[in-house]
Amino acid sequence: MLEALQDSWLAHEIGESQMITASLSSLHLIGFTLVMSSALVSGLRMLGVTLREVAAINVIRPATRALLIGLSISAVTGALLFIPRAAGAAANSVFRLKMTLLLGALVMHFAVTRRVASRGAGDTAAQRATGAVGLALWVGVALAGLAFILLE
Amino acid sequence: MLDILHRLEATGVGTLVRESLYGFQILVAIHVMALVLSVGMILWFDLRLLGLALGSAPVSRVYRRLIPWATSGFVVMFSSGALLFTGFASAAYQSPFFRIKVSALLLAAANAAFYHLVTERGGRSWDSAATPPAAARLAGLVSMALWATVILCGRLMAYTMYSPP
Repeated sequence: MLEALQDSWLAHEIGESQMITASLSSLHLIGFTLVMSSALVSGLRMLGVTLREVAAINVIRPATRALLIGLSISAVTGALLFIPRAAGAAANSVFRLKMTLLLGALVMHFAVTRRVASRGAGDTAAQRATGAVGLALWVGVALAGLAFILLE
Repeated sequence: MLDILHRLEATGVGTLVRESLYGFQILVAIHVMALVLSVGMILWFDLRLLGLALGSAPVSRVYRRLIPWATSGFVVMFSSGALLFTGFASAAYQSPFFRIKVSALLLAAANAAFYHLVTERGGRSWDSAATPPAAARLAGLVSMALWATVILCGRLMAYTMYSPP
């Protein structure tokens, strides 16, 4: 099925055009900046390292919005970049690690971080643990993504 | 100019960047990760200026909290960027994307300078306002547009530096 994807007209259009690939990659990096900066500001607030005078939820809420915008950009460009090399990427352990960590980071953010942040000021130990785990997962996604593209 | 750049590329540092086993990859990884720390944190200040986030904190407070992170980020960006440049100076110099990137960087610096030297001067009155006045919002918007340009051109430059036009 992945081979079929790789043989599609879309895969050929993208794979054979350096400018299309370059444009997709640079837009992917814009999405990356939005996602990672949201992850960073959320993580730092949950860790209690900065912006302590702002309620945690008042950092997490706008960060979630920016994260979703960035994620949309990165997901669309990422999918288009994936198509011409679908079979190879899917078999690549670094790529699989990136996707696994991404799933983990998203689950962490939407199932845990938002909940812990809305609980208010009383829960600093939970906030710090949440912040640390979330940040570690996102940094993992970024490093796996870099490893995939730089070492393939 | 190209002569100077070729000589820069031929230095020990330049050669190391190009030819060491993982030197280039490590530098690029550092450059991309520090992007989040630098532009990523400036982005959140820009969002405050636009009245889109962190409105409960005064503009100057948000700035004071985020700027140390952004500054360390920029130190790493410029260091890693300079090292990358030494390895590929002549191709970079001739790349239109690199030239646009550098121009956008300079304009971003000018935008920041203008904000701090002019717009912020009247800051006492609107520091705590959830939505700052138009000049401040414009500074935030221009900043975001310029940094997006820097990011796009940085990536496009990498793809096209060594290909025929």
